[in-house]
Amino acid sequence: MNTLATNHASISRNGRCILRSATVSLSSGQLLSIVGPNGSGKSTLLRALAGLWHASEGEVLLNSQPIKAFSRKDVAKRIAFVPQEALMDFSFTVAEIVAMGRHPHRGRFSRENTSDREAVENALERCDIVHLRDRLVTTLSGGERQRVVIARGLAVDPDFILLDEPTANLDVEHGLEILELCCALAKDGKAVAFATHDLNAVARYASSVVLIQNGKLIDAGDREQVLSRKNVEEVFRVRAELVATDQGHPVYVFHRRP
Amino acid sequence: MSARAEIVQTSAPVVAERQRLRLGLFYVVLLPVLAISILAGIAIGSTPIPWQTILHVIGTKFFPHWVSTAGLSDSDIVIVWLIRVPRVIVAVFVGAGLATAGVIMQALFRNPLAEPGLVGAGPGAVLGAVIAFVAGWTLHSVIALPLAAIVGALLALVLVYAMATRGGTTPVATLLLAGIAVGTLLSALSSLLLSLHIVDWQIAQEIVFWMMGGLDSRTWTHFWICAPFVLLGLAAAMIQSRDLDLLQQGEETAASLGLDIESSKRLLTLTAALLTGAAVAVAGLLAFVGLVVPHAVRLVVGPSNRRLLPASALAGAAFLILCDLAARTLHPPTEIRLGVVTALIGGPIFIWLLWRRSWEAGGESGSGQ
Repeated sequence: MNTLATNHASISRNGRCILRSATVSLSSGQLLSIVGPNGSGKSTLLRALAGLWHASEGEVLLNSQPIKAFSRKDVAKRIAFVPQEALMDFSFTVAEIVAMGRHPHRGRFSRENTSDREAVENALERCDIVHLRDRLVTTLSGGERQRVVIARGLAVDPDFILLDEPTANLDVEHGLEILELCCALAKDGKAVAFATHDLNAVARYASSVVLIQNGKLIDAGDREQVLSRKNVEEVFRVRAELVATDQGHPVYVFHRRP
Repeated sequence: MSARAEIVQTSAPVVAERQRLRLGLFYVVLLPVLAISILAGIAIGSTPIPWQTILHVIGTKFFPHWVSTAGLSDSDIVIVWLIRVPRVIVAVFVGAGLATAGVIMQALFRNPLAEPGLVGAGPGAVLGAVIAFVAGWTLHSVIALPLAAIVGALLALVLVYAMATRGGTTPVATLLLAGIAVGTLLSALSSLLLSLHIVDWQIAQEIVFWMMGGLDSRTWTHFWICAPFVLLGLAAAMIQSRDLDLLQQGEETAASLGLDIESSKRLLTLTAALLTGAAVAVAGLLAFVGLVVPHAVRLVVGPSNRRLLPASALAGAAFLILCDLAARTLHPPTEIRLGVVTALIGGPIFIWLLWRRSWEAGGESGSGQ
């Protein structure tokens, strides 16, 4: 059982506190979604969990040990971080980009070995981009790029996968594919967390939810409890109406407050 | 499913094959070009020397027990071994060093238009050299000038780095700005020293000539000064080639994939500064070599730095030998300054590359190749 947790962690950037005393935990098999309006600190929380930004107060714990005690490479072997906007302006091939996910496992002078190649193949397959493997990433659509970046994260073969707005650039079909992939990974025993402001996708897929506003945790736990109408209306400053689809799925419809 | 699988099977190997083919073709073309330009660089000059004589002289130097000096005149040996060979070999290392530094900078700044002098190393080396001229050190020893240039490059880098670092992190954007600011300042100081000594035409002429870059009267000493730094720098860059690939994906991604980005950036800028310093130390300022060569080579062999670094180093060597050959032969008996030639050839190539890219992209803006 792997666990990743923040314990009253605060994060400041450029002298401004953008995450205040957040306590969150993520463990194997869990699909956690971090929800909040723009600029609420979702991405900050993800970066804290990934060990990319260090907490000024409190701590981040990887398997109950301070994440700072691990080397950058050891953290990278366990935690994959999938950024929202991947910078891809050099014309590497898709296979080359995905193979970069093997970097934390490779020694400085070691060549790519069989397990590296297998991990890359698996990642390409799971993200349904085997047919793109020799394409240049500069020629891909936004959705294809997103899947390439997720595949790079999977190639790490991590215990934890943290995705920042993974469906933001995707069309409906590919967005659902990614969310289903996240579910499948959680079923496989990975711990998966993603940040989003798409409440309806979250309502359908995540098992637990963290609700965040202005750098403060509002609520965390079960999705029914956290995404209550009261919470949603308060945090997103809208009027929310819960309706059921013809197949019985609950969906929010939002209205601007008068 | 079956239709897709078919496409995968037919198209995938073709593209990978094409990539390998292009890399192979690159070396098949480049290596003979490099060999021929080395030979031409030695053969062509005010006293033309037949290639058999060149090989004979080189043979006597490398295999003195096997090849006798019979049939060679003293002047042949002097011209080939003490004048032309060192000049060409220095061109090889300077070209390779500048191109390698360019590859590092372009990856580090994630910008295909970055060039070796960006972190202050170029202007720092120039100022170091100008001080050596003005202080008269150059009269005492041949190595005073190159040493002053290398020290200048490193001091400039340290200054730029210190300016751009806050709380243990050095954002590349700040590094770039600090590099430009310090570079401009150091160039102004060089010009100030030059203008203060312009009455001493002897020194002023030397400085001006040196600022325009050149490989005239380079000796084996210059080779021994420059080559170790370039070899060391090239090896260091190759060892860090995968780190460069990662940095091209952005610092956050690089960090999330296990790269210690701050120490990596320090090591890479140091490598680039050493390469630039060593090149400027023996050849003066040479514009566009470190900018155009990696950029053009990337179009052929792709952006992977493990392939790009050695390919660019060899291409840089060939490019500089040919530029030097042009500098010596285009306007006899005067030599055109090498820095002028590299800029006159490199500039248009660069403009063509830019134009080609924007044309290919259909006017869309996009950086990187």
